[in-house]
This record gives sequence, structure tokens and C-alpha cells, in this order.
Amino acid sequence: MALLCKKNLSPLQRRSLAGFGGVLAVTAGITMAVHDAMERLHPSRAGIVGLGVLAAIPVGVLIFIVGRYLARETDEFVRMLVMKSILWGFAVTMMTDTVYSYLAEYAGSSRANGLLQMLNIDVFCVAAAIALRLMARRYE
Amino acid sequence: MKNRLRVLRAERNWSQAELAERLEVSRQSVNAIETGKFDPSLPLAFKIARLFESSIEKIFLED
Repeated sequence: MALLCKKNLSPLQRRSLAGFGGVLAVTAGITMAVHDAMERLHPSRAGIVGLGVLAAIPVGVLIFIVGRYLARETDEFVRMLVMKSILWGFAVTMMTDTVYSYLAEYAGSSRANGLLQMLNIDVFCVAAAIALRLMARRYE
Repeated sequence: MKNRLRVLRAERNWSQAELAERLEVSRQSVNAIETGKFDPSLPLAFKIARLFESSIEKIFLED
């Protein structure tokens, strides 16, 4: 987080980045495991809802970590950069979703329909991280 | 908003990193404020004014 890839991170930034990275890895693991379980076990409707909620829990934890970081970050400029990068993350995620939805609906198979939505958090994180890095570079 | 932060810092021979440390902000914050790309909040502006033993209006100038 913070100014990503910057060497002199504050303890808060280091802690938040470690937590964020850890939960992101867990998110990827759970997403793959849930996807695998859906394919192999063919769960009931309640099972699908349960697995879907399970996959969504780390997303909530990620947002909580970012929120806690923003609440504790004392540097108002860094806070503003992180907020801007979050907005870019949302923008890229929604734009990607929109384009992908049209492609899935009118040019692809309906089976691929929900695939990108499952990876929304990954798209969001990558987009926000790139945006943060690019914005931070302007003030190096 | 324009400001005299760079001049005041130069008078004291402080680097951006030194000023950032004294203000307890990142060096990028100092850079952004100096170049007028970011206007500090009132608490930070007061902190800057206290550090340079001056008043806010003598450091930050209207465009």
C-alpha cells in the first residue's frame, strides 16, 4: 500500500501492506478452492450461497484493512493519494466489468459470465496499486 | 495556492527529507506542497508556520 515499492515505509504502512498482501493471497486461494469445489462437488443452492459468502469474506477483510490504514495514516497527502488510487481501482474494475459483460452476453459463452466478477477484487487491487505507484512517482 | 516553503527551507539549508521529518510527513508531501500541487490542511499549515516561526499568511499566499 502507501507509496508501493517505496523503501522507507512507515511501520503502519509496512504492517498494513503485509496484512493486505497476506489477505490477498488468502483471497486468491479461497477463490480457486471455491471455484474448484463448485466444479467438482456441484453443491446445492444453499451450498453455492455458502461458498459464495466464504469467497467474499476475505474481500471484506481487505476493505477493512484499507479502511483501518486510512483511519490511522497521519500523512494527509499520502491519504489523498491512496483515496485517489482507490477511485482509480473502482473505475478500472467497473469499466472492465462493463466491457466484459457485453462480450460475455453478446460475443462469448454464458458460462464465462461470472468469471470476471469473481476476480473483481484482484482487478481492483492491481489497478489501485498501479495508480498509486504512478501518482506517487510524480512527487519523487 | 502559492507558498514560500522552498525559500524558507533553503534559508535553513534543509533538504525536503529533513523538512518532512520535522513535520512528520512524507517527503512527497513536502514536494507536493512546495510545488503548489497540494494545499495542506489547516493543522499542517499551522505546524509549518510554527516550525518556521512565522504566520500562515506569510508562508501561504493567495494566487
